[in-house]
Amino acid sequence: MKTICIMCPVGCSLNVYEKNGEVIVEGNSCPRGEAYGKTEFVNPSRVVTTTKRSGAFSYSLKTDKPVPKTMIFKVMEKIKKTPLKELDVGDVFIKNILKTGANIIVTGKLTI
Amino acid sequence: MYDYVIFGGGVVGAAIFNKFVRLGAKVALLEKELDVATGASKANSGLVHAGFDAETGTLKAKLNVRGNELFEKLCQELGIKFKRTGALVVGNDEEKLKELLARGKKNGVKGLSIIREEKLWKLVPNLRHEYKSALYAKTAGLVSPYMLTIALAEEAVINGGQALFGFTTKKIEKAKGCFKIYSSDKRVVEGKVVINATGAGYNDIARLLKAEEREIRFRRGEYYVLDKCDFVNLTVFPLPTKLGKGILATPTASGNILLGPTAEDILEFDTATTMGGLENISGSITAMFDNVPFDKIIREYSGVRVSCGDDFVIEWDKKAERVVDICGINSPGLTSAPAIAEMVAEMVGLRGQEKKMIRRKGYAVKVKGEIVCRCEKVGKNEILSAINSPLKPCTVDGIKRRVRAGMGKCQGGYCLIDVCRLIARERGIKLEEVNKEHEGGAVMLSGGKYE
Amino acid sequence: MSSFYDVIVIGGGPSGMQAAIEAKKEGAKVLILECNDSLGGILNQCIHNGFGLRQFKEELTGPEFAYKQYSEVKKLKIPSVFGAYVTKIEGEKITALVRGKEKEYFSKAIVLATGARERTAGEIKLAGDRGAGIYTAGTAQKMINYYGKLSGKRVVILGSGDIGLIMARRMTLEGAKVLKILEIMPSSSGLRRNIRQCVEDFEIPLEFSHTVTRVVGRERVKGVYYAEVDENLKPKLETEKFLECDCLLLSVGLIPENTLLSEVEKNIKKQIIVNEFRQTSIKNLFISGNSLHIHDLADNASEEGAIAGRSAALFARGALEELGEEYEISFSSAISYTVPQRVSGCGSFKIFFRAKQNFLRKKIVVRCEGEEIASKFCVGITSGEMQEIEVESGKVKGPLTVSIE
Repeated sequence: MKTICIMCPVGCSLNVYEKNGEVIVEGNSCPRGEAYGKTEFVNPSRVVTTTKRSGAFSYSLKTDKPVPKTMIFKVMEKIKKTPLKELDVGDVFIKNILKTGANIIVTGKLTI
Repeated sequence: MYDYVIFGGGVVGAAIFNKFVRLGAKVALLEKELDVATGASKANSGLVHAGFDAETGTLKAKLNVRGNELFEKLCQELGIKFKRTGALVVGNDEEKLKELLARGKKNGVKGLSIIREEKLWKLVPNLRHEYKSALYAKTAGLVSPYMLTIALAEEAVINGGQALFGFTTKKIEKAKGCFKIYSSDKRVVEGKVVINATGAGYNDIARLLKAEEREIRFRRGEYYVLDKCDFVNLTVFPLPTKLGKGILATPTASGNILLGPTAEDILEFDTATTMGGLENISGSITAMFDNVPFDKIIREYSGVRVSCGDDFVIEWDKKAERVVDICGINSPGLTSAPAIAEMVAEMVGLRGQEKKMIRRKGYAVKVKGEIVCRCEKVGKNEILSAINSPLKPCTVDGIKRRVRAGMGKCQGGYCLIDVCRLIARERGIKLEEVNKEHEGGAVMLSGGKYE
Repeated sequence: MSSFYDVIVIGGGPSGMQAAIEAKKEGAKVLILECNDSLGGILNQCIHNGFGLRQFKEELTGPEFAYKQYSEVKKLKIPSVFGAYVTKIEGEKITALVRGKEKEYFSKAIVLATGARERTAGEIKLAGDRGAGIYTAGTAQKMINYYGKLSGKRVVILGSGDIGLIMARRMTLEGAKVLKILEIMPSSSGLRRNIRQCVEDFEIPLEFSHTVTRVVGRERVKGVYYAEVDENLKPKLETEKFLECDCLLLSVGLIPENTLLSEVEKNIKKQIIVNEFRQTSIKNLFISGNSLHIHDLADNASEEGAIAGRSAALFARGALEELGEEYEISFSSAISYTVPQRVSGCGSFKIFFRAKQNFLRKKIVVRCEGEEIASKFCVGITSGEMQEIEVESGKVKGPLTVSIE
């Protein structure tokens, strides 16, 4: 599988394949890239970021770790449907969202 | 029951509206759009012509010269900017320039002269020196065409005139010396005499009035708008051709520069700009000037000029009684508007002293509040003042025309959303209900599938 | 609070905040003038991740990056004035409209960090109707991220700069359909990872060498005509097609917002000339971040802010006065510009530049009067990415040239 590493702005071209039951990553220039290549091969995952209005505030939110790509829209829907009471930056909004192991945390809060 | 009902809130309709209120009549202005000046009156060159161009003896010639004379006092009363900057027609064909000069004199235009070389180049430092002669018309000037329209209508409303917006006329009944006018949203207005000043929409209203329909032609003119700079300090025309006054360069009353218009005959009313048209402007302007600051271009627009024969049509309708037809008001329509209003008042028999008018206040405020439009330095309080001004504008473009929020080089990138929020707040509507200019033109839509 | 400062920073975004932080650390009395109601600038609406790897060694979202800087500003007790719109700079005097009232501030040194604005439809001479629904990508970003409103539900994006790519993903996540991204150039100026995670992840068609020829829709956008372009970037009208949509977003470049400086110094060219201290030709005026030149990352804008802030503090206490002679930096034809453009060479410094095209396995070389004083081997140099090379202290004895060999 050929892909582009998304771990940093460099964007290395990766070649990922399986050999003797082991996932091999080529083209990376750092260990983060190797880890990314392996996950991308087995279970591609992404950090999801979005916003939510509540009262006088606009909250920006993110998953604190990547969630499987297939879950992205489900995570979005869950975030939109869950009521948000007042929180602060760094607070957990939804714990272990849809059993992905990722928490939704507040990354920013603006008075609108 | 109104004495007079005017169809169309362009500069002509607004001028008549204003004049009639000044003369003490009970008047209503019906506009299908959400504000005045949303058609040809917002999209022209903003020039107050001297009057040498129109053929002697025509209504255009007469009303242009008269209109020009009325501008100083009118703009002063309305509290809007008018600058008598002068205009030049440049070209090396001295015969043609002399012809224009002679025609101007016949039309009664004062302050015309032919200037040459050094004197000309000093007036227009960026003019190419191939151009050696020009007709100089001292009385030409600049006005914001939409601010003139807005101010005319505002003053009329402050003094008892009624302006109805979003009024799409659906049906007109005639009974017992009066017209009963129905809008598509079920409003009814009654009037004794009606004036059709709808410009491009002339035939739609004429049909409903069972009045004379006319053959109308559309001519599109495209423009470039440049950010404020001193590329030219007065209007510079090329020699006129059959198609019109040609592609000119002019400052605006607010200090921007306009380059244009093109002149393209089109079959249907269409204000889209085109790649070809815009290239034409660049070509013509580069042929006339050096140092054209094309990097200052911030916007393009086009306006559609309506013509009906060669001259203005301003007359009692021949088929329907108590209907005044106003049609084919293209250039110099803006300049002529105050004189057209005088003429129509005379036609309908409105004479005598103007009543003492309460003057409009404009949108200036003591404290601007926080700056909303950064490019044009427009404060929140100024925007609020515009939103709550006499015509109760409810569109982003309506506010932009009044206080220039969004007219700078970022073209609303910074302030668009804030202006929408202020309109929504003041009108008690949702953010997604705020329109840019027209009904059905919401700036934002409600959230996606999750909302 | 007196209105006299050592360093006033105009603009509280990533570059401005870092400038203020570094100036304060140098012992200066610092003030930030910010026109919004909070610090952070554009980072507040850039809710996606990908920031901070360089500066904080961890992956952060825009608001988190801003929050980290803000925490330091707070810790250092650097005051800010909000709602302050600077209208004029004359010598050491700054005039600002604060909530619409005119106020004056005085500072020995001034750092301009006013960011950038987006290129508009008018500037690219977009033809057609001018109804609602044509916005810059950043405006659309603000609509959705601050107010939860969509700029459209069927979207075409013109330009494949990073903001456009980010917005393609953002609009898709919010339930809009992004029909196409059109890029007039044969390649994207956006980061490769953004093509991967914002476009390919969602199978959004990205067409190179294509542009919008005309927008249709008097009230609101009803569709766009688009066509392939030839090598001169002129649309081939025979390839024109129609695409129904209700929104056109533009991601066609950023323009440094430095009107303030051009009002002080009428001779300002398109590009502002600075030395390695980010000092302009007006000695007490420093400039950094996107208001000087467009950066790929907030991290880089912040790094530049640090240089400007530190230098401004040095200037304020008279320590930047004996710079000696400054030399020009010229560059080979493969390079479009460098920052700085002149140097004194008092200490070590970095030269930042952009290449005009992509190169594989090339060396970046800096020469001083023919002698190589710095070089760096690069596996790949792309036109989309800012390049940098460090020059050691004491090497500069005359004018420099930068080249790709």
